[in-house]
Amino acid sequence: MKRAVSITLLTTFLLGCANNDPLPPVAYVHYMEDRSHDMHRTVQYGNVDYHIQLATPEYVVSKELAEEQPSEEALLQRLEQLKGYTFFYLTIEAKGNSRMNDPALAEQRALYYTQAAAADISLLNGEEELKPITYHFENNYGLAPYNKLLVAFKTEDRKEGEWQLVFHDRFNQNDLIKSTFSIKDIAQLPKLAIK
Amino acid sequence: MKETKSIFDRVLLYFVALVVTVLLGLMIRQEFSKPPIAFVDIGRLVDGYKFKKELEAVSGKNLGKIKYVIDSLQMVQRATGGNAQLDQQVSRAQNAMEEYYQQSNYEITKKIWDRLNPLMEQYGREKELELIIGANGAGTVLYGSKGRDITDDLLAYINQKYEKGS
Repeated sequence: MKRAVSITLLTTFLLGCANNDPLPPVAYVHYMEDRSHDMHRTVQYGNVDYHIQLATPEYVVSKELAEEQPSEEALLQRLEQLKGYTFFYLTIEAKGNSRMNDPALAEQRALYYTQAAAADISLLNGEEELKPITYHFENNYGLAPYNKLLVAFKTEDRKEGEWQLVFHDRFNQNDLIKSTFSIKDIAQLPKLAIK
Repeated sequence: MKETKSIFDRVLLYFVALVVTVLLGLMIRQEFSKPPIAFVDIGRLVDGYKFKKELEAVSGKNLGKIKYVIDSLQMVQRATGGNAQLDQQVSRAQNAMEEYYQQSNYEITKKIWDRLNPLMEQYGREKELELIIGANGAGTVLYGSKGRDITDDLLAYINQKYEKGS
């Protein structure tokens, strides 16, 4: 009997340790960017690396917090605005010589990533294909060896399966850049501690 | 009192000896179970790579479209008995198909290796391999025991990384 009680207590303690306590914004960002938590992926393709960061509304708000100090009310309002959307930060990094850092292609590169690239990104959930609801390209004018894209999809109501981000990077002629995230894992992410 | 201490010392000695033996055994086991050199059947690896299959499916669709145009032109050619302009169009379309086929084959091969090379490096590091040899059926590996053949494991690894990312 004593042993059964001890085992139950130990199990409860261990499960208690594993539960996801709400995290303050900075810790939340670190948690999401920590590769071991499976929300940040990399696809290596020749001389180009694609870093894909899944971003929940809480992550986006936490990033915004780094620049502003909004009130609790404004924060909740912002979270409500972003609710039901899933965001992806895509960083395209050039290693060595590639089309990504060729100054002669700067205009062509900016043109593709500013406008056309959005049509080459989609989010799959089984047979269903979602197209971006919003898209933004951060033009660094060739000053950094990477380019950043932010893309958002309306993903509300989905509770099962996986989200697979698929990108056909026509500028680099790199097809089928894929990254898969379990919806269950996303639902089990820690909450954001507000205050 | 002295006797108790002596028993305690002996027990401690046995315990330490046991721990050292177990640790040594584990180290030896690890050393011998580690396959520092492995080989891969490149043909099977590339053929089983989902990325290749999907690229080929896209390329096949495009080839099908060109073929459709050629078939239509040839049908007109047969129906009308043909003329110089039509013959030229058919020949041009056939050349375009041939060119597209060669170009897409070259690109598919390049893309496959662009993605496979970093993945194989990653796999080798994770599995602590010292050398991965590519067997291509042309005599690069004359004999390899089954235990050294990592093709299936590597294939599962690259396909998982392809769908999920690293």
